Amino acid sequence: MPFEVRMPQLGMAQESGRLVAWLKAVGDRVTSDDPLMEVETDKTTVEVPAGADGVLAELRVVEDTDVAVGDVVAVIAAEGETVSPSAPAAPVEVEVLEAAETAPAETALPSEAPAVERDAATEVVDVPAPVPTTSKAAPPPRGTRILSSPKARRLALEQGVDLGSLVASGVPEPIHVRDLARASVPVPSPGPEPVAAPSSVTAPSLVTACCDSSAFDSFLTRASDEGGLVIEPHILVAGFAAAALRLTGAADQIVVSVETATKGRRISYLDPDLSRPSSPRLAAEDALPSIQILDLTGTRITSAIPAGASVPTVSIAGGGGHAFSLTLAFAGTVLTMDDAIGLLENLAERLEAPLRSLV
Amino acid sequence: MREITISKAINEAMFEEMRRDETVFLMGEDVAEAGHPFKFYDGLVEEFGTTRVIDTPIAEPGYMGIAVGSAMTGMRPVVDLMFGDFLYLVMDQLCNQAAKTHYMSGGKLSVPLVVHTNLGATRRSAAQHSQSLHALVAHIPGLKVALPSSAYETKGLMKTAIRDNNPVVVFHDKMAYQEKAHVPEEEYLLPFGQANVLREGSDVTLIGTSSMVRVCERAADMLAADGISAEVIDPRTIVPLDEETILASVRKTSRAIVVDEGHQSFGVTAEIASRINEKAFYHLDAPVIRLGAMDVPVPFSPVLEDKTVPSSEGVAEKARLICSGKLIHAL
Repeated sequence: MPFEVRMPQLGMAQESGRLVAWLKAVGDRVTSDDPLMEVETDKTTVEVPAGADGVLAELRVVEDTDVAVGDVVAVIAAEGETVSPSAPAAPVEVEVLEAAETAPAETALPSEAPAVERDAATEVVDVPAPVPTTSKAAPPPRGTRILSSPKARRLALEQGVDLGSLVASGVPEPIHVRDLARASVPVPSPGPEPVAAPSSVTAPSLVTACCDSSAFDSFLTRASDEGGLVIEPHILVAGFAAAALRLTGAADQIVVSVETATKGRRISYLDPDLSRPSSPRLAAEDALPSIQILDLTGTRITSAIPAGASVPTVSIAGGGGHAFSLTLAFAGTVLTMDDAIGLLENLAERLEAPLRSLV
Repeated sequence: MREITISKAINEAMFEEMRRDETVFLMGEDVAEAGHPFKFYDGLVEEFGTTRVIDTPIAEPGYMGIAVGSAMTGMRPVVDLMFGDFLYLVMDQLCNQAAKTHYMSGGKLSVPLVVHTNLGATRRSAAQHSQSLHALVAHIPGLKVALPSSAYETKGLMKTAIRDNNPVVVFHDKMAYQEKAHVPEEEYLLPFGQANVLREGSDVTLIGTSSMVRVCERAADMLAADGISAEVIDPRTIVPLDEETILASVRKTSRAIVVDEGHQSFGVTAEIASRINEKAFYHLDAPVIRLGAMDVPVPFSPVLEDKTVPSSEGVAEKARLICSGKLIHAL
C-alpha cells in the first residue's frame, strides 16, 4: 500500500498548516525519519519527517499552500510498488487551484505525473512475472470516494442528488445534510455550459481528445507474449472508461456497453474497472448502460456519434501505431461540461499509461 | 411539590417497602446502630429492629452469600455495599450465583435481591473507592442495573428494584446524596427500561447516565447560548436499556454524544454508541461520540482526579465540533 503523508496536527487547536517547502522531490528515496516538508503553523515552523520508507511518488500540494490538518499532501510508494493515479481529494484540489489561480485549471501538479509513471514503468520491469492483471479486483483509487455522512448519503440517494456534482460545484467535503440544500438550488456551472437550448431536442455536447496509443499497444503485445494473456482491447477500454466515469461520482454500479465497428456486435460489461480484463463480468442483457463505447479502431473513421444518445457515448478510433481519437458525446442533463472534460482527460491518461491504471 | 435529597429518597423507599412487605430486610456494614457514613438508613433499625436491619462484619463475600441464599428461599434482601468498588469482592455470589440461579434451576428459583451501592469519582477517595463499575455488572446476563440520577429517580427505581423478582444492582452517584429534587408525597414507582427525556432539542442528543445527567444538562445550557439545541436523555436503567427512546431521538437530531462516568473503554458509552451505529446508521450526520472517564486508576490528587471525569465543557466542545460540519475522525 502506498503511504499517504498527511498534514500533521502540530498544535492543540490547529486546523491547518502552511506547507512552506518540500525538502524532497518526486522520485527521491526517503526513509521514515527524513525531513520531507517544512510546515508553518501560527506558532512555529517545523520540518516534518516522511513517516515511511520508500520512494516519494507524488506531491499533491504546491509550496506555500494552506492545507487542512489530515489532508493528504504526498504519497510514498514502497520499493517496487506502483501508485495508482491519484485524484486529489477535493479540498486539496481546491486549495491548489486557489494557490495558482492564474494557472489553467488542469489536474493538480501535472508536471509531477510523468515522473510517477516513469517510476512505475521501470519498477515493474524488474518484477519477475510481468503478468499485468491486477492481483485483486482493483479498488477505486483512494481519495475518489466522496466523504459524506451516512444520512447525507442516504438522503442524496432518495432525492436523486449527485454528491459528485455537489463536490464539483465547490461544496467542501465531508458532505452533511445541510449541504444537500445547495443541490436543490441550481448551481451556476463554472464550466462553459453548452449554450442552452430546450433540453429535449438538443444536439449532444461534444468533447474530443487525442492521445498516444503506443503504450497501450505494447502493453497488449507484452501481455500476450510474456504473460500469455490475450486481452481484448475493447475490454481494457471499457475498464478505463468505467474508472474515469466513476471519478465523476457516478453510481456504484457502472455498466459499459461496447459496440465494435469491425465486428458489429454489442456487449455490456458490469463494473469492468473492478474485474480482471482477462475475465470481465457481463452485465444483464437489459441493463441500462452508464456509458457507451463505439470502438472504431482498425477503421479509417475518426469519430462517429449516433444522434439522440441518452447516455454518454465515447467513440474511440485510431490505435495500431496511430494516435487514439476520442470523442465524448453527452447530454447536458446527464453530465456537466466539467465532468465530461474530466472524464475524457482521465480516459486518455489511462490509455496512455495502461499499466499505471491496472496495477 | 416538596423537594428532598437523594439520601431522604432512599430512606423513604426503604421505609415504605419494609412496611409494605415483611420479607424485605437490609444488611450491610454500618447500616444499623453504628450509623451509615451516607446517613440514608437513619431510623430503620429503630422501627424494624436488628433482625431486619442487620449490621454485618467487614466480610462482603460472606454476607452477600447469605443474601443470595435468603433470596432463593423467599426473602427480599437489600444488601448495602458501602462503595461500588467492593463489587469485586462479591463477584462469585453476584455473577455466578444470583445472576444464574433462575436460569439454571429451570425457573424454579428466583433471586429477588437488591444490591445497593454507588459510583463516581471526585470525592478525593483515591483509586479503590472512586470507581464506577456499573458496566462490569451490566455485562452479566441475569442482572439488572439501575442508575438513578436524582431523588425522584432514586425513590421510584429503588421501590421497583425491591419488588423485582430478579437481582438488581442500584448505583447512586456518591457525590449527589445531598442533591434535592421534587418528589411526590404519594407513592409511585418508576418502570425499568424507560428513559427520561429531560429536555427536547433538535441538533444533538446527549445521553448521560447517573452523575453525567447533570453534566449533560449543563452542557445543553452552554450549547443553547451558542444556538445549538441539545436533547438530553437519561436512560435511568442500562439493563434493561430503553433503546427506542434513544434511537428515536438520534433519528431526529442525527447526532449523538454518550456520556458516562465509567471508564471509556469497553464501557456503557461504547455499548450505547454501538447500538446507535447499528440501528440508526443512515440517520447519522456525524460520528457518535463517547465520553467516559479516562482509562486510568482514579488519581488521589484532586487536580488530576477532576480531569479524569467528563465535564460539561468537554461535552459542549464535542457537541460544537460534530455540529460544525468539520471533518472529524478521518485519520
